Amino acid sequence: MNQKVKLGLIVLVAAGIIFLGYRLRNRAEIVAPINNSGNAGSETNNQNNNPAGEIGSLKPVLEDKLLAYLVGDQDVLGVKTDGRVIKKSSSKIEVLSDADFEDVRGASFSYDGKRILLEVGGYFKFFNTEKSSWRDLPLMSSPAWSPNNHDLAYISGGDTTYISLLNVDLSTFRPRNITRLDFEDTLLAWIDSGHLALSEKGASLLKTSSWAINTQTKAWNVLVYEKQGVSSIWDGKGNGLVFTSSGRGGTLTLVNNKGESLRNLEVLTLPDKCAFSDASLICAIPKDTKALSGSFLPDAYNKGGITTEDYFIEISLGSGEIISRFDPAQSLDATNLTLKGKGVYFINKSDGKLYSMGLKK
Amino acid sequence: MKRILLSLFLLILIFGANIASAQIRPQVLLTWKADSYIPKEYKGRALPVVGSGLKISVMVLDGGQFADISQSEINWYIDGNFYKGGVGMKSLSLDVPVGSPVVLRIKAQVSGYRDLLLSKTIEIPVVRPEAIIISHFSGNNIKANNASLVARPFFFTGNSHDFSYEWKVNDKDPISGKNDVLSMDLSALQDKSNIKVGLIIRNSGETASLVRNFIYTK
Repeated sequence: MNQKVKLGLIVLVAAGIIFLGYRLRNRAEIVAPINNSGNAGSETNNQNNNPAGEIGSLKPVLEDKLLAYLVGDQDVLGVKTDGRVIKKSSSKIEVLSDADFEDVRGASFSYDGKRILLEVGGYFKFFNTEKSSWRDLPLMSSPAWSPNNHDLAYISGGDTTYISLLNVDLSTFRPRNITRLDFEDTLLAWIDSGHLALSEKGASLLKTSSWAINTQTKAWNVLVYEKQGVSSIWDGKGNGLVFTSSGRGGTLTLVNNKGESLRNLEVLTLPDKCAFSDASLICAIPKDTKALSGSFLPDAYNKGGITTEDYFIEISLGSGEIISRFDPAQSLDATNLTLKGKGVYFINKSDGKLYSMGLKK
Repeated sequence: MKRILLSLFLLILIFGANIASAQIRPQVLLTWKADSYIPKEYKGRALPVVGSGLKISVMVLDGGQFADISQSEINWYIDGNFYKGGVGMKSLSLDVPVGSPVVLRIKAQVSGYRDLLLSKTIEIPVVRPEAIIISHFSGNNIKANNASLVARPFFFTGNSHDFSYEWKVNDKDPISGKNDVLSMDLSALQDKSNIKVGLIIRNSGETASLVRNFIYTK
């Protein structure tokens, strides 16, 4: 081989290596998406034959205003705004916990519905449905249930803060610290059973970032890097839906567990108005497209300054195509969705009550 | 010749790998929190207003792990001007000063970690107190003769949140509406085609106002 050719080959290899180096460096800074488990609408694993109502017609499931609910195979659990826990089986309503609390701010169910987290005046406690007992939790913020056990991930309180894991079933609380954290105003969620998403709280005109944390290796990587209006949900199995904005309106993107974009969705709504099921995503979409496209999101909707009148669509996770569309007969503003069996369950933001609607499947 | 080529190749490989690792610079992360008021049900970000307390923290992400910068010199700058600094000063607390621009530019400079000079600048929007009117009807429609509107304050300062609410309906004082809920009886209104609702929220010298127009539809 001619020496010049050999030299040329060497230069090419060298250039390739240097290029690879730059790619590696940039990979750590690549933008890719994220966060926040919609725990209020989580569902148990088994499919069921829940009578969610006739196709297209709305059916009130519980008459009380709810903070969170969980649809099981045979029943529906709900946490009322005063912290009382109720269960509806067939047409019978049973009170699981009659304890009421002042200043209840939020609630969420563990993956199997057997533990219920309640935020009361900035403190957290959980209800064990098997023992019918409440127990106070250590000082924490942004707790999130694991997708497959009774671990809570949270940011510990106190002068030195950590991301910690706590199995609430242990008689003595022994949290496992994942990493020290000097972060402000962040949210935790489970991407999947081995990864947490840590996100700065987003706002329409504010650039924020999110990171994935491996709970075993404790390694971090960027999910979203300095995007406006970030808000997101994860299904606990590695599928994420991320909203970002650039002023008014915004874009919804399906992402994988590394935050890499799989596809942008052609519809405009917010992650909190969507829910994952096994192979699809169901979303409540405003009939008036200007309701969201003309607003600074997600702030305007979350503040309550705008309300929407929605229809539902089901989107294939595989192809991103809209599988079906369902128009409810009544006006509703749906949040905290759950797709279960042949129906969609949701809390109507207008009255805070849980409804279901039968879907054609 | 083959030996020379092989040696050259190995040299380039080692040199290239070193370049690659040297290029992965640690990443500086700045996060912040404002203590301005938001309603308890609001899950979004509390944005600062003039007078808000603001805490900014810095961390350094290096090779997928957070670095120990407790022995590093950390200097803080606001809008390009040195503000504070010191060894291990990983957070900065301040009150948003009167006369602040609409965006505060905060820079943290970390020196002494891996003999590098690292820095990061973020922009924090400074907003004004905000009043929101919540209607349970879709859009700007009101579909009942008896309708209620709810007021919500956002981004006020101070620990005392003794809000006062002033409502106007078509520029007149309503019969009911001294607190955060306005109950309207639309049957008393002659012109229902445009219902102008005004709201002023006050708290400790701060004021926010909003006007929303509604239409009565059966």
